[in-house]
Amino acid sequence: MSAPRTAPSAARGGRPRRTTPVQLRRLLIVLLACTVLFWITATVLQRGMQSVTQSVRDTTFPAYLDAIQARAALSDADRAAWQSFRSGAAQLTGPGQQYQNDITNAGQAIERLAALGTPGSPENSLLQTISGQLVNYQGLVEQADAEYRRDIALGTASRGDLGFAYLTYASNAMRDPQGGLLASIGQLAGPDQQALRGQLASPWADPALLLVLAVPALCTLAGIAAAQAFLRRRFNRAVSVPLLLAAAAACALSVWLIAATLRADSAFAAARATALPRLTGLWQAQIRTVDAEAAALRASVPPASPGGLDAAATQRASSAFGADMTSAAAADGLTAGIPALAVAIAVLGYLGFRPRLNEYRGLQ
Amino acid sequence: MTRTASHALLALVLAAACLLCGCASPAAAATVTVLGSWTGEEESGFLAMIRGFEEKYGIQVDYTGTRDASAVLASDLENGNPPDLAVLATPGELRQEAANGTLVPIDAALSSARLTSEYGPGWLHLMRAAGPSGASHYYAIIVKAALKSVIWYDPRKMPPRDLALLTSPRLTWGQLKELTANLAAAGTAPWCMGFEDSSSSGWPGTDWIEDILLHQSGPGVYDSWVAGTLPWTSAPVVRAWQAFGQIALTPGQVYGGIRAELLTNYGQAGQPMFASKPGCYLDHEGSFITGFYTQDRLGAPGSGAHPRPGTDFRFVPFPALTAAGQGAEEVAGDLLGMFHDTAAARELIAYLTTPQAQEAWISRPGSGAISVNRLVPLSDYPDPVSRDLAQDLTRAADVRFDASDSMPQAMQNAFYSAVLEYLDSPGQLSVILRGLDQVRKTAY
Repeated sequence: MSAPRTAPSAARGGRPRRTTPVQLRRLLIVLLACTVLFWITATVLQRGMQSVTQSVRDTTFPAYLDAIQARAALSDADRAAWQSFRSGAAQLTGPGQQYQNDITNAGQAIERLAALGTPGSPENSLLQTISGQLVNYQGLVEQADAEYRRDIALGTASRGDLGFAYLTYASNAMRDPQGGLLASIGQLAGPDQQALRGQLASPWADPALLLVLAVPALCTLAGIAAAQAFLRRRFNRAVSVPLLLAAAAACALSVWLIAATLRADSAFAAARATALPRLTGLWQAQIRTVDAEAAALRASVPPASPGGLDAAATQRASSAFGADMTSAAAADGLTAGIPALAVAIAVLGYLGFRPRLNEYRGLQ
Repeated sequence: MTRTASHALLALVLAAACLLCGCASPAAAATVTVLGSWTGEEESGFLAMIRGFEEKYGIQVDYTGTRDASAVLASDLENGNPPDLAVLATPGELRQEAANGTLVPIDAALSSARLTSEYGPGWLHLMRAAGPSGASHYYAIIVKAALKSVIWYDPRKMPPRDLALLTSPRLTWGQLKELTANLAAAGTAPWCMGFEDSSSSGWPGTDWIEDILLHQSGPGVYDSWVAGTLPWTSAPVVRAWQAFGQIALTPGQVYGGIRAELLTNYGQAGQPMFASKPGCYLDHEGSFITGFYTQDRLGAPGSGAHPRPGTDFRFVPFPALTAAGQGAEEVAGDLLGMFHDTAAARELIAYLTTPQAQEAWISRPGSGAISVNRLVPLSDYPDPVSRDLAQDLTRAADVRFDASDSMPQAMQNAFYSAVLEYLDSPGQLSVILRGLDQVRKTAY
């Protein structure tokens, strides 16, 4: 550090001797206040963005995925059970391995949904209902299996309709549009999808929100510039290195936030416009196909293709959505970066003022 | 730093900390979760009933309606997480849950004096059960009731001669059989039947057997059978099954035959009655069926106006088969019990017993609901058919609650399945009844 261009005013007497340290302190306070405001604004923006991203990635999307997976798996279970009974395989294997797999998948998806939900919430209450309905559906299929085998054993003593009737009851219990198992799951998937769409269009990932950040960022930079100008004018300091570094930190923080927001916005837009519609469309198309196959089997019309769900296709679509969310979450480093850089700006700003303040303290 | 500036900076930091913590959250409104078997029009009726409650008390009612409510409740109880309130399928289930201690007594929610003045002793008896200690308490309320001993017909479609016979004041079982034989001989099945109802499939058949037994052997025999003291293989019970079989199993007697009986939902069974060329003329269903009829269509399915009570459908009482069964009526009711004792749940229980709440449901056209609260005036019912049903229900001399609903749950479920088995294998009746007796030995 070099000596001031002129002797401190206090040493020469008159008003400036009292004004300069006061001005120094005022400038420092303004700079620190701007830094705090910058810190708060940046934190609020980052927290908002992070909260939306985390909510989509960790809660809403998994919940939607589990609900639609359970819906598809149950539709396929119904189809698989009909196929097994219609083909005659039920005589040896009951409703069949595919039915068991589908029921297991649906049960696991429902368990995951319960783990994601809040105990006592309406969603969890609905999940309880769904679990009960699933048990009831399985009971009816088991009854159909038992009657089917008994009808075979009884031969002509039986009309052979009861196994078919119980499977119809099971199918009806699943597909009843008023309170059936699939309708109940639809009540979960629908709001989850809406919530997901809402979150993907969240204002927290909107670049327009950066205008809010511009105010404290520019204030901080203006404070640093004013301090630098004051030091040059009063103390002949061409450049204060700490203040220069503080300005660099403020710029770095601004650029980091802008980049993170733009990346999140781009990822959300891609998920909203491409990945989510593709994933939803794929599931819905598969569900429609499986439902049509189940209806054909129920009416005794064998389906044209072997049928079933294409798990690989939905897995790919799901991964694409997950990649978008990973990209949106790339700003997670800001959680530590914002306080670190804000503290750095404040400390560097203080260091820029400290030698001058010390000079006056020594003189007093 | 000056003191003022320091304070300003401190205030800013505190405000920021508060903002960043986001520590404020609004208080949640009280909620009551209700599980019920009412869906469609019945669900709308119940929601209309509780709308006034939500507005008056500021308590939110979270209702889940599913036709498998009984199975769902069993699963919820198994998981130790039942709803606050749930519709209990039967008084048998009410007694079982009360004795287990899973149901909470609701005496504190109800005014005994008001109940006694507004409800008949028979209905109040149904709302009571013995708790785990053996002491009797109110454990449920009757939200709505149904008259079961009725036969529905479309007065505009029935041939005039048969209509005159059907509506004669003292219709006998013999006359009814003569009438149905005439209709069958003319080429149309007289009866509409559908026994499908998800996990409870078969119960419409149990209603047939119960009504026949009540009107054939009388209330005394009926009571012994319900209580589990009269064997299923006894002569009165066998006669009732056989009388049912003469209708349900005889070709030409039922629209669509046995396969249709097994596969048709009870709510849609009466639909062919309203077709331009009727598929059947008579439907034996409880009074709640009017809620389904008013959703059907006159003429071809999917077109035409909805059937109107009085004009397109009316009812006659189920005829007595013998003098012993004269004047008896079978009834049913939807019971609502409490599993979590909360202030909000108690408020809802108390509210649902009031005439105002009951009126909200029964006054809805096509609701099919009947109130057993004496203070609900007949003029509140929206059509003459509902008024006649309510009048019959409140004036019936010898009322018996639905037998299967009054039996222990294991017996009830076996009864439902037995009806389906009988339709599938009529030659196995004695085997089926022996099986029911085996269940009877352990269920009571």
